Amino acid sequence: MDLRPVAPHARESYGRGTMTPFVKVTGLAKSYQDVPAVREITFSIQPGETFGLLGPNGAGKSTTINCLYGLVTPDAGHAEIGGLLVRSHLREIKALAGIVPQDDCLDPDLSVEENLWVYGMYFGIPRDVIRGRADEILRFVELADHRRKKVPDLSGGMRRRLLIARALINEPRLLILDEPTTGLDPQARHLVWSRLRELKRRGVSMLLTTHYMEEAQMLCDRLAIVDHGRMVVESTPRDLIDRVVGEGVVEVRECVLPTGWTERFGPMEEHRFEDTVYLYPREKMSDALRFLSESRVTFTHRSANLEDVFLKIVGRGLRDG
Amino acid sequence: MGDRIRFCLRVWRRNALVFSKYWMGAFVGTVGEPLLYLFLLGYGMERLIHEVGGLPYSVFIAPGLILTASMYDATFECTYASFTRMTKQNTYRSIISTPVNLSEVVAGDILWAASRGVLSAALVSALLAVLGILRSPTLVFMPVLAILTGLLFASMAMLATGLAKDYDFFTYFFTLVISPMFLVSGIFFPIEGLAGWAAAIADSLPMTWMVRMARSISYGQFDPRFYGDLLKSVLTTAVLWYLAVRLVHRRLIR
Repeated sequence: MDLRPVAPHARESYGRGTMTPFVKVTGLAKSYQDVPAVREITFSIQPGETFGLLGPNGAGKSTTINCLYGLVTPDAGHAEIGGLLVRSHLREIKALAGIVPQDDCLDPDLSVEENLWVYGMYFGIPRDVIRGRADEILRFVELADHRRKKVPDLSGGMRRRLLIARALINEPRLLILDEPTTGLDPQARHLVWSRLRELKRRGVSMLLTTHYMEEAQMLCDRLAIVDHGRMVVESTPRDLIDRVVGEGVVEVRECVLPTGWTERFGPMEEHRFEDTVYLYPREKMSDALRFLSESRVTFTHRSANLEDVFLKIVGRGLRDG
Repeated sequence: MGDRIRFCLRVWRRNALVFSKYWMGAFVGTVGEPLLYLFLLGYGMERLIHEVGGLPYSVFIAPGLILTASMYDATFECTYASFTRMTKQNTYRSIISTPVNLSEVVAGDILWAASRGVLSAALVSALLAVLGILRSPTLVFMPVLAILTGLLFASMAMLATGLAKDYDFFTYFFTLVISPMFLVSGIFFPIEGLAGWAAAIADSLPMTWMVRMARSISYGQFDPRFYGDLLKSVLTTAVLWYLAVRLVHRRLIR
């Protein structure tokens, strides 16, 4: 698939320097039967940028994404892609976006290659252009050897790659990915990640939702944590870690802090969950570690990651449903 | 408008591609069924009923049976098949992620269902013409009538699909709507002889109008109610189509 022409074009009209966002979502709100799913979501994505929406189940991520291509009509606020309003220019917007939905919606009546051909036809792309692109895209996602297979015969990882492949048939300038690696085995996940990074290098803008902090940290230039339909924080992964958690985390098991801890360190940011106390000592780290080593408690020290940020902000309790 | 038709036709082509893989099985049912009725029921009943309105019994039932093929084709396609694409397979969802909009997906499915109906009706009429059961040259207009039948019943079926919670709903739809339509619309017995109220009910069924028009063109004997029936059919189709699009929209776009 030749996505190269997309990148220069995108830079020309929406260069990072000019700061004209490619996606702009303002004050989005949506309720289903008076139950609010999204209360107030506002963000923008620069051309070529990858933006992540993170949040527990039911936080409003999918509803937000669905508002971008007309599957959900927001109660308030609006979304703009490539300078066009979703409300008034849905067809044009859908033509320049590629959508990888959360649930499998490949056409099971068609083979792998037919899925791409038919999907390309929906965009009105001429037949021989589709055929050429489909060949390239199938090689790109490593499905070329399975092109004549029926969709029901594909593994989970292959189906997800085909979903991504399908979303690339119109050479989109924006790729919308709703949990692109959920349920995949490590090999399949790494392949998907490497392909997404490659698309990023080619200048495709991306909007991504995920449950995997590792994935968000690796792929996103910026991200927002969403909870109860609102954006709680928004920044780069590094900045969030530094600001919210600091560089290191200490986990003390059995929830017992050594005697004299409070006298020594005073009130320190901590989280208790099940059998563990999570400590965020920041600049007191070396003192804290020395103190803990001299006592008899079991603890581990590791560098902070996005998961700590997420759990600290959203809380550790389960979110079912 | 031209734009919208282009988008519908893309959905139509998707369905045609899938159909090209197992058309054989599809035709066995929709063409085979009316022929069974025609030959077996026709043969059996002809020993009891010598003629209806001056026609041999199998000639009397033939026109209605041709359109029965369209009715069942269109109804099956826009109930079970469309429902599967709309819910289980998420096909509608994935098509509306492309520039095609939902009303065009619905329209594409309805057009496709009607097209299948035309094919079946054309096959059955051709066979009846070859066998000499129907002889009027106006029989060539049967596909036109089959398009209308297909569009009407596809729209009605799509409306049912818009309402259906699960596949069980279609059992009710077939038993309470489609089967009575098949049995009471004057295909097998003339409704003119029925009691006033029964005739009024039968006369209100869209299939009755279709069957009456089918007789006109099958025998080449013009029934003065033809234009009225045609108008009623077109209007009913338009209303059902509109409601079907609204219901499916309400269901998928939140």
